Amino acid sequence: MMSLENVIDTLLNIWVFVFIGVLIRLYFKKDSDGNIAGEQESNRDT
Amino acid sequence: MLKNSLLLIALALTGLVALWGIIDTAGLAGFSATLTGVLFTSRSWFIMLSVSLLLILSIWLAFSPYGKIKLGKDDDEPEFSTVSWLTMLFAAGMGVGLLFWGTAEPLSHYKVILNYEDDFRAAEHALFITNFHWGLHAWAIYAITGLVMAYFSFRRGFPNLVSTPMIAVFGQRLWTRSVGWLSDLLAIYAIAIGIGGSIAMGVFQIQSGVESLFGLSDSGLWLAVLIFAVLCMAYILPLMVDLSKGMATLSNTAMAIAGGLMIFVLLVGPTFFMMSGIIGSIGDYFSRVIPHGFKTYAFFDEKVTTWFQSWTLTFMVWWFAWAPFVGVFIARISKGRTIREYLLGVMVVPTFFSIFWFGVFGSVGFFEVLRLDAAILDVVETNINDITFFVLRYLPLSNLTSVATVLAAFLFVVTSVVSASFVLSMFATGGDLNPPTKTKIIWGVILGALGLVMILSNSIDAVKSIIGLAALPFIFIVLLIVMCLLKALKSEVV
Repeated sequence: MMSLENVIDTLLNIWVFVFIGVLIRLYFKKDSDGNIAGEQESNRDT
Repeated sequence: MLKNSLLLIALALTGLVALWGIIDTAGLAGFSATLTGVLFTSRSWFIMLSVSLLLILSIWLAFSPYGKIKLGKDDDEPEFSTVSWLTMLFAAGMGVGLLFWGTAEPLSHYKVILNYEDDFRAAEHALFITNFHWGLHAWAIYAITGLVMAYFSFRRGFPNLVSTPMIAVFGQRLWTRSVGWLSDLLAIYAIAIGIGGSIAMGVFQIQSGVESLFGLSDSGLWLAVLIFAVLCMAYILPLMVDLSKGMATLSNTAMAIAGGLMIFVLLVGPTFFMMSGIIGSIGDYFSRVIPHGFKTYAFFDEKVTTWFQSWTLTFMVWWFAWAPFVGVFIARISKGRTIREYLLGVMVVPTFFSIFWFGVFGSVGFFEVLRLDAAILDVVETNINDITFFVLRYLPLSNLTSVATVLAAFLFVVTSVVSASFVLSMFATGGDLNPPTKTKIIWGVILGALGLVMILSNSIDAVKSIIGLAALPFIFIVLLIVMCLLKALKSEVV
């Protein structure tokens, strides 16, 4: 039987796995609508 | 000010922690120790993996084509000369922590490692572990947090806030605004608790110095509280008037005293022994640093895992607590530099300085332990705050060097609290570069109250757990904003 310590440990680690998954998903997500692309042009000399 | 919910909640949260600590110091320290124990046990692998990946990512960014990108517009030039810039970096990293731990940390590790290895190997390994805690991994956390801030602020023109990268990359959405708001709040909380710990460490250090100078033994809390009161008076004044140039002078003075102290100890102490220790530890450090970053001591006994949690994990989490504060500072002084210059300067130069520092103060301690007597090890056990002064007493002009150490510790704490009050006020007012004096003073008072809580705990271990608890959530935020940076860099043409 799982002790309370084990349950907490499992939950804490599930949170870490979910977080890593969300990071990877956000990194590869295509439809980001931030305004960095627009600003980029004004930063370049060329 | 009343309309600013972030400021009000941040003040309430940090104020409540301070109040809890003043009413029930043991309760807060016990709660923090239990919770950090649970979190450290289950997340040790994640903390070590994160810091190692941040270091590898920093090295990759420095040498990749992105390294050529400027932190500013393409025609911006650095504001400070390279020498001034490097000196200011030293000052940022050379806080009261190095003064406190210079000899205490290597000797503390030595005592534990001695149970498993011969004495000379234990000394070598203790020095390596200390350099590992203060070296590339620590500076990679600062460097990458500062890089994200500098990139979005100077190159993209966004406000200098922790939430900025999310909003800049993913736009104004419900989740970016909510997570961004929470990130700003947690950054404020982590900085406030981290500085509170720094105040306590500074006070413990000054207290031991005063006891050593005046021959007082076990002065108890009254002297600590008296020193704290003097410190508060010293930092409240600069918060009321704009003394930015004066503060830079004070910070440089503290730095010069610390540097002078290091050179003095190197010259009047056993120079050959210290130089051999330094050169040996440079080789040892660079040959093992990357693999050691992945070491989690999973199969070791409880004594080792407890040591690992209370030192390595605590330090790594500690650097995360300081990252928003030091990150903002180093970002501010690095405008106009390329990513390559920035990363190499921020990571490599302070790391070498730390190796020299611990090489000098650690080796002088080991010289006493290995060649003369082991009385110094008893001091590590019974009064770790006194260890720096205990070592200085072995050397000539010990009264003068003790006064210099006390003065440097005092100046480091004052400049840290003034700078932190500024950064906290800036974060809490949406990135305002000239936050109102009233807000800065309120933060100064809160930082003082948090410092008092940690002083009342009267234990450096309690200080470490309270900081650890505040900083743990910040690891997730650093990883999130680093992902935003990588995503933003994809749109750069290099």
